[in-house]
Amino acid sequence: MAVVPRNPHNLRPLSISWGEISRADGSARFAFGTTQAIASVSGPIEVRQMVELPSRATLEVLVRPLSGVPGTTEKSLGKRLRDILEHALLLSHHPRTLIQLVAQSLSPSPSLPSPSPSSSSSSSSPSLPSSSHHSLAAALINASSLALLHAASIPMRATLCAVTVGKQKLTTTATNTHPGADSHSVLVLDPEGEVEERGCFAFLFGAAVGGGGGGGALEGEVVWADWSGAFNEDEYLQAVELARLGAKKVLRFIKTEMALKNGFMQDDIDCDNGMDLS
Amino acid sequence: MASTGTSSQSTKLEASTFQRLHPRAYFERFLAEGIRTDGREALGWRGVNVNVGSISTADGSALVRLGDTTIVCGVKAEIAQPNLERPDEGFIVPNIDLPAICSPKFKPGAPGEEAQVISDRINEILLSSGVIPLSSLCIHPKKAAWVLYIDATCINYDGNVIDATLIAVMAALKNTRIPVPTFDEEAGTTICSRVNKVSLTITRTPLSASFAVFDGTHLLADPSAFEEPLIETSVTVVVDEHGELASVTQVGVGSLAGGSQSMSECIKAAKQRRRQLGELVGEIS
Repeated sequence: MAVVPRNPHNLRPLSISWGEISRADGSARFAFGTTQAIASVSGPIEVRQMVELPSRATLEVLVRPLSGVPGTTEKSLGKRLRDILEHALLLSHHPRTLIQLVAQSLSPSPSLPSPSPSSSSSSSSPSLPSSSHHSLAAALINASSLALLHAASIPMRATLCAVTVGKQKLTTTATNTHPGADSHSVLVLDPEGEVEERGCFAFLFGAAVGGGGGGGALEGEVVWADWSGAFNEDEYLQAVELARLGAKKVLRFIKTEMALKNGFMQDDIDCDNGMDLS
Repeated sequence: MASTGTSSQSTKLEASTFQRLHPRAYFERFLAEGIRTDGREALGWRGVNVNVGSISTADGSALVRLGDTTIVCGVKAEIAQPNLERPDEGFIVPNIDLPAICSPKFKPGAPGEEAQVISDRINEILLSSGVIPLSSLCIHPKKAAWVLYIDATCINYDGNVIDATLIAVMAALKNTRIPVPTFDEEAGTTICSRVNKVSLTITRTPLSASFAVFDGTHLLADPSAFEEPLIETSVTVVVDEHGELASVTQVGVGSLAGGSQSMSECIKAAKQRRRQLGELVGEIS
């Protein structure tokens, strides 16, 4: 029985909400459909001496799951986000200060198999699709980026946008185990439900990014790739290009929402007068 | 006017002082000559040494040296009740520790960020590559299943812990022999044979190859502890024994000056490296 292929370029309905955390310098909520995350930024603020740096601001990124204590997955995500943002933000403008970014998932993390008899993970998620961690990672990255834009207190070289890419099997017969010879599946953006998630990509959009001067503003520079499952190089490159299209859509949506927030009229935005976020 | 002996001594002192005070400039000088600080080429790898089965109290063990980076890994199998949601699956619990002994950058106490990040990465690689099907660890559905505790400890840190750790984990898993279990329905307990032992069902042997980009121009393989703080992009490619890609991770800007994308070169070099490792080390072919 053939599965109806969905449009590979569609993202789930995106939504952004600004400034919900009133005490932080900047905050924003981002969602791909029902996968949501919220982030807050405080900074430049007072830094504790142990992490103070003489020539630039210290950046701290904390990622928190919806329920439970932050584990190694959250730590890993936080570190990678920090590595990218340290290059995207002009931290040298605020030496001896702290920029604190906290990203909170608003959707449940996929439950990891754990051997302890009274593990919280086995009781917290009733009947959710597994492996949605790439989607959640993408939402957290986007929320962080938006929070930084909302705060507008640290100069940024570029805007960071992330999307997830998955693989939809076109026939429900036995899965094709040989990678590469895939006439039975297609790459799709922002997978949900039955479509298998394969990876998360994030791009930096800014004129100052990338080796080929100026290209970064329009086409984006891939700064985060996390792709797994049996594949060959061609499939990976296709996934990157598909993700790039998706990230550009996210960027366009961010620009529109930001313009609306700042009082621009919908007609003016539609003319795409190129609000330069680079 | 200093004598020849004293001046050559002070020149030697100056080089190592220069390295400590200006690591970036020191590194750039080497790269300008086309080599790295330890004499390797840009895409050169350090030698690998694997020793298995040395820990008799563990069900499987391996000691790996990648250059100076040394990892000890032990596998212990215990029995636990499967999760209600996954009644016929066992568990794999990898844990990597970077204690204070391996490097001055780690302080004693709770696992630091780097240890947690590497633990998470190893867990992801093992699960997403399907190295050991969790169903093969089931002893009796809903009642008993194996839990494989994989504990790796770094005892000397010289960069690229992820590659060394994955080699150690795979070698230890291949070395692991677990007793043949029999589930006693009446008593509700598992009895393990003292004599009969079996190996684990290992369907794939993925190994990683890590790279770094320095200054947007130089693509380097297998970064050392000196190079790691200086680089802005890191790429890890995981390849299995058939030359098939299992996963790729990139953090940082991927494109190099001149327009090429570092990922394509990394994938090519990673496949070569996997072949080379398979030939060099029988324990992980």
